[in-house]
Amino acid sequence: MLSASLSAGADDLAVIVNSQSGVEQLTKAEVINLFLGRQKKLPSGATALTVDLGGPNAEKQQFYARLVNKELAEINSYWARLFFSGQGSPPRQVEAPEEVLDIVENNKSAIGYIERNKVDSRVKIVYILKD
Amino acid sequence: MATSKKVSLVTRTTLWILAVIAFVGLVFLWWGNTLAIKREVARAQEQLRQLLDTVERSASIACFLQDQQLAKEVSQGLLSNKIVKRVVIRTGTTLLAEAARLPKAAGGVEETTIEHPADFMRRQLVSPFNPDEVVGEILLSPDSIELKSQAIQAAYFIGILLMVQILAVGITVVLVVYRLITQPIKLIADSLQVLPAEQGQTLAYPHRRHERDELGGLVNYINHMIARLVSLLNEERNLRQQREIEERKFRSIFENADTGIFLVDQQGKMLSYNPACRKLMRAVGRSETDPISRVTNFFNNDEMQVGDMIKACLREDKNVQQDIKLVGTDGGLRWVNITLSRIEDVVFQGVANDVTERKLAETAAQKAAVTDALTGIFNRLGFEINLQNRLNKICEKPEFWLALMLIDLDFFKQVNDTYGHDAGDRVLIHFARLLEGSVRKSDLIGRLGGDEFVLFVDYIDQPQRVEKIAKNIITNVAEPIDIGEGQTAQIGASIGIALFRGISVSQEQLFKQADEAMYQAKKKGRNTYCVYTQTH
Repeated sequence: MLSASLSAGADDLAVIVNSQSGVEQLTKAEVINLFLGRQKKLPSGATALTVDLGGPNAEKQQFYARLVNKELAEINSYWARLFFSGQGSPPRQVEAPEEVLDIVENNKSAIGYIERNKVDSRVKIVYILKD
Repeated sequence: MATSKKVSLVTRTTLWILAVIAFVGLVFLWWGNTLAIKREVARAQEQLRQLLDTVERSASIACFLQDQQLAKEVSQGLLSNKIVKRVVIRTGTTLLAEAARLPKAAGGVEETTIEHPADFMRRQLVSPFNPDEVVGEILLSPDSIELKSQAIQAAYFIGILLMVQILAVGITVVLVVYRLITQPIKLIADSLQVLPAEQGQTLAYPHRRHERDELGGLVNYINHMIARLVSLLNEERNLRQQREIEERKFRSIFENADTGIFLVDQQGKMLSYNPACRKLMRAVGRSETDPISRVTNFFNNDEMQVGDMIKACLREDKNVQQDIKLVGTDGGLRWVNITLSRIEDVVFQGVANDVTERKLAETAAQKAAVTDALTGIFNRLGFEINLQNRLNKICEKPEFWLALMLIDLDFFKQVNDTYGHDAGDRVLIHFARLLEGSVRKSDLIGRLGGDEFVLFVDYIDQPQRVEKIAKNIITNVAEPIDIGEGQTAQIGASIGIALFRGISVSQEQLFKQADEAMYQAKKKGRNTYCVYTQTH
């Protein structure tokens, strides 16, 4: 418990965008809409490129659990349903936080998430998902 | 017993039971049907709800993403259920998908039905990721025709089951009623019809199992009744026999009685009579074969007499008696005593007795009382009675005379003393005959006692005739009288006469004056007469 409280800040997930994206702040609903395909464009007007962080640290699981309180299996079946209707597509899947950072740094309309303590100055935090 | 209106108990019972079964069946069918439809409707609604549950997630995703394709898939999927007629998925005011089963008749979908919330099952759809956010709604319209046909099928099945059950119960009841009640009753009735109950034969149970139930009770009761009837019949028979014996007795008394007994109505018509009546009729010379049709036969066919007697009986309401003199065809006299008594309003019982002997004896006795036994003429009583009758009848007729003569025999005592009483008696008898020869038949002659005689004559036109009678008597009495054994006796007579002319006079007066005259005659010497005169 003690270590959990101490490391609370470290476990936070940060939603990040390109520093040139023109987006400063997002609401939770905006984040949900973007990552679950309802909203396809960023507030700036660019078509959003969403990135899911898979990999061993299970940030993706944490992210969806905290954002919409869903298991990954549910999210997957959700996307599977949409896949057959031909409407929208799931976020791009990457394995490492660095990849996320790379994509976001190099793509103005990209949006992803990593552990807060891994965020650096190349990207901009627009929403914090607390533990 | 066998009438055209006879209806079998079995038939009627069966008809009743069948009617009740049909009624109950119909009620249950209706009820069952209603129930089944209700249940089917409820079931269909539950089915719809479950369908909605199934597609809710996909539908909410479709609404969340405003994904028409997904919404269309969902709605098509729902339509594959027969009970679904129409599906609408919309988010806010935007229609995402609408699908409807084409009605059998052409016409298309009516948009307006969406506005009838009652026909629709509506469910709000929330965001799959935020339960607080409503993203759309899904409307489901059930196919009511299909629902109904399903309900009717279910109801039909239930109805058949009910009917089969009710029919089975009904047939069982009919059979049981027939076997346990109507058939035994019919058996009882049939055997009762041919039962010789008057001979005391009893009724048998229709079956041993009925010995202790109500039908057995019925049989027992009937048998009890038969026993009572038979004993009553026997009693009645005995009574009848006794009465017959009694009747024969009375009949025999009636037939054999010496007394005539008859019944007669108010008009004098004979209703019945016994043989003694016939005998009575025969005794007075009526033909034996003549039917005695009227009671007047007893009265010498005198209607008045009969009518009077019946009236008297009616009026006084008691027995009326009368002696009737009957004259036979041979002229012989018979006396019949008739007693009439009223036995009913207009029926009278008559008793007729031949009282001829009694009547004759009576007459003889009466005659003896007023007759002098020795001479056969009136004694004092007889003379006085007859004299009084004559005096009562005499009307005052001045041209006629009447006279009383007292006659005393002279020397009679001597004859008695000399020749004995027999000779005296002969003299008295002789004198009586002499007196009878001296007067008219209508004149009264009497012996007052001893040698004292009396004579009454009336309707005499001249007083000399009276004197002539007296003279004749005196002359004739002087003749010698044969007193038997060749001897004769000689007597004389003194006569006192009371003579009146056509006025009413008393007996005492007559005797008194005659006595006086007699005294004068005796004074004048015997064998003479004397007429009473006032101037003595």
